[in-house]
Amino acid sequence: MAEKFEKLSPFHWRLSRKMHRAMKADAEIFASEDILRQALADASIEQVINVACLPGLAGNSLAMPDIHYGYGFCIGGVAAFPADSGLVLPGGVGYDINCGVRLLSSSIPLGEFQPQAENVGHAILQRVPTGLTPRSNHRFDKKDFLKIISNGAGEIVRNFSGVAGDLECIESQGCLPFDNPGVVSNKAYERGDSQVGSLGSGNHFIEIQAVEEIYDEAAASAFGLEKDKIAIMIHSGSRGFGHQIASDYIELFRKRNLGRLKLQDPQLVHAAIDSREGKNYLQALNAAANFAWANRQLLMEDVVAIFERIFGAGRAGLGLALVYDQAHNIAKFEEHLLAGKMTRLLVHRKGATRALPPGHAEIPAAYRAVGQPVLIPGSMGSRSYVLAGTAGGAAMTFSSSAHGAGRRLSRHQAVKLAAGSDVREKLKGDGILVFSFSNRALQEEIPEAYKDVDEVVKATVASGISRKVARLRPLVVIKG
Amino acid sequence: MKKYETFATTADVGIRFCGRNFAEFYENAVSGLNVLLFGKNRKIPSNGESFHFMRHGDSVENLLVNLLAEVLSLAYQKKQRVLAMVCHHADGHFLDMDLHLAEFKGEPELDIKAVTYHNLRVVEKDGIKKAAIIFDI
Repeated sequence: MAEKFEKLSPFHWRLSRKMHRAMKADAEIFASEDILRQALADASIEQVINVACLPGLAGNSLAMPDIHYGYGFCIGGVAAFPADSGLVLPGGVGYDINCGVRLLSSSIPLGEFQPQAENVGHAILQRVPTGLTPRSNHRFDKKDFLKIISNGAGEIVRNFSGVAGDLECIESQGCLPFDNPGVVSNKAYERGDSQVGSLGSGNHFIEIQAVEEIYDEAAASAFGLEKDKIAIMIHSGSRGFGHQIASDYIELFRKRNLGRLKLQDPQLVHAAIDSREGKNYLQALNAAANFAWANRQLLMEDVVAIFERIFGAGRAGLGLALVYDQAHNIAKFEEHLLAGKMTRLLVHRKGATRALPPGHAEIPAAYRAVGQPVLIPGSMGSRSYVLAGTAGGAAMTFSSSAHGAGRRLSRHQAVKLAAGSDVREKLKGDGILVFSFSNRALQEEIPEAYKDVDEVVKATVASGISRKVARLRPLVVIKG
Repeated sequence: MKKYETFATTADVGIRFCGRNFAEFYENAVSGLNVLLFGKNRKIPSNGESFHFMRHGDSVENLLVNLLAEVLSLAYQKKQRVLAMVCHHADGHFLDMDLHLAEFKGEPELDIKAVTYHNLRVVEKDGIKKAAIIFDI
């Protein structure tokens, strides 16, 4: 199969639609040869091809350098459809709608943080609800919950805690249009209303990091990142609320289109964007996206409060500022250049990050000259990266980039590999303090379970879809 | 093939199961999911409660996904584990089943968030129905 790919550059591959009779568009993979071979081995390329078989794609079916096997879509998959005549696929977004990452910078020197590292880790684990089905510390009645899923992060900033300027540093200002509560099922409300402000489990985390290396001084300075200063990264999503919405609409789309769709995988079920069910899904998706932005805002406020208490200063005094918050499981209407013409598209990114180029109007003014921050977390034992969007990425990937390392081992394999060793002690030896109520969760998330994030970043940069700004080293990790 | 077995993919988990008739097929699917949620040996007494699952579906796959989604909902929202099943009627388009429950303490072993249709196809060979289901975790 690998030989069927045309090598457009050492990190950009194309499989022509002529290679498969059902393909209606080409498949393009942004990856090193090694990553491409892994993707062929785990069948994720097959998933990129399946997407290329869908009718009406704008451009090609794309995969970012962290490509790996998902359901329907691969993780790292990007697909765009014309806004006026295209398709919407819940499988092109994923179950955890607006799962995403947010990064805070600070002026706290590494040396000042280290003596308090243990205290900070304990305090976050005690305060922030983590794990399987925890209820948030925050109680919202139905009316307030509706405001949260209508207004997203802004609702928390205005009525709970936060800084108004934060909203500019959140993708889509932390809010997508939602005004029809009837499109969300009671089950979704039941699953979601007690979970705003909780981290969740699996690969979700709060990580205190040190800025270890700066690659691009101008961009790092614009983002507020300074070498040997502390940064905070938060990874979480829309919890049970988003999962229920995804499940509900996959079910609905299936029913409505039964017998009509010829799909390579039933998980690729879809609807026309302008159909009633398509519009309803997009509304419900926006509600889940708003939930996730509000969730990360609350999580951030909890962490900020802990820093303020432990370091005895306010957020301004500690230089705590939101660098950026971005979604990596989402479908959004955006304008992109298509065949030389600006076109309104619905861009699906599943395990992929928006990466707008310098000069784009949607980037916060302070970052406009350098491009949108692109946050790529590693595993709990490895480095994370801050990148920036490029004009090359805008042209090749609808301004999309990678979103993380991606798993290499199943959870079962990871637990087996970790058996007999103390994950906390091992990571402590590497200078990383890990906090979790669940030993099994730590075993499932051992660094060896993930691919090498350095390789992903190398391919992301070499393919020209983003450029490197800074590298972050984990100091304290809180896992669900 | 065993009545049911669990497996893991790189990112997620799943169950493979089979049955000589529809009732056995659906019951084995629930038993497989129970192993993922609670392990093989976690014993708890029944609390005498039951949940009546009755649903029309467009296919066996559709009924399976909805049945297992209900079992997940009982586990995570109501803290109820399915201990036994009594099937009143089962075919490819209709399922009427009582799920006998027990309240459990603590948490399930895994955070399973959704039942997927990913590559889900029920096949029948020599009178045995077989399928594999992937769960999102």
